[in-house]
Amino acid sequence: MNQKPDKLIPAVYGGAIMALISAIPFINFVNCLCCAGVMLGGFLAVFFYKNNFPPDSTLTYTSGDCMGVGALAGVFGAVFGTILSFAVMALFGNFWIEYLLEMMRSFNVDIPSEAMEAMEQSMSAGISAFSIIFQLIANLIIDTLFGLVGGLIGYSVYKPKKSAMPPPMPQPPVI
Amino acid sequence: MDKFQKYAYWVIIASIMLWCFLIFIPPIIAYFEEPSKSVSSYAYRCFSNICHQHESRSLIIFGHKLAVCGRCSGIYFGALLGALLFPFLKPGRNLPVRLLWIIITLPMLIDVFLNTFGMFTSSNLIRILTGAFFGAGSISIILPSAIEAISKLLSQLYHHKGVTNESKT
Repeated sequence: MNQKPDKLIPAVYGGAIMALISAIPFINFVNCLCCAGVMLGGFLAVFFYKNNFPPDSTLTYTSGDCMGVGALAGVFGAVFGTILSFAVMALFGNFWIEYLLEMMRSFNVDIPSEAMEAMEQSMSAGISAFSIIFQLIANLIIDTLFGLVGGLIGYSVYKPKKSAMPPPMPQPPVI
Repeated sequence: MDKFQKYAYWVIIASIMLWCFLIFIPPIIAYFEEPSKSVSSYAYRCFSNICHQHESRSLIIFGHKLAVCGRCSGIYFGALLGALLFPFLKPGRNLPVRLLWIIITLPMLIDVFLNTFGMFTSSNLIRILTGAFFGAGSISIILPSAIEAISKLLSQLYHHKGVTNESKT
């Protein structure tokens, strides 16, 4: 096999994981730590891509390949994530913000008025074409960027080891 | 470093600087458009996916919080500092990468863990410092790979441009 494995399928898997982490309420708090969920998607896309290389293959993946897979996973993650998060919101509403507010009230947490305002605003916000497009564009920029970083982290962890032995010399033609 | 690697390094520095600059945009907009806050709320919303944006945990500028919290700000500015110092400092470059990831993540994770379970009340300074340590460490790990990838891309673009110019003449 003289060609490198396809990048699309690992990127789709990575993007799907990214979308699930970003769209499922409560799990999406992971992204509050510098987009850790998005970076995990890029990282896992590199992991799946690396696994597609046969063990005896002479070809190997480069940092550029991993950056590309991570960024592509970010694009898929943004599209899937936007669709999924609006689907969750359409089906269940903003129940998790209500839950958070309720929890904060029960623990007598002193919530700043600005934060309270923002929470109430997001609870009352409906789904509009503008909000979907705005969210999609913001997700496309951020997920691609952080997916790319995740891909680079994946490359640094799964960097192919340089072989100590030189490649075998080609055999002379038999006369 | 060859010519393309130097270009790649400066492309990365410029990108991190741009990102750090973007963090200041929402509070600046909010300062100039008081009291309506309609545009700045959208600017803040762009960053809401990547940070909780709690005011009490954020740095304040012109009376408004930055687009991301203190820890995230620490990570990004730490990454910028780490990238700028990268050619001069070589700490831990001989250590295994996985061990390096653990070393740079541990202080931040301990801080988050102790805070979450109420065993310790962290201050903004600690959040910024642990974040900056993580940011500077992580950029020093991924920067060589990023330089390698971007320099290859730049060299391919340059040679491709050279070929198309030759074919035109």
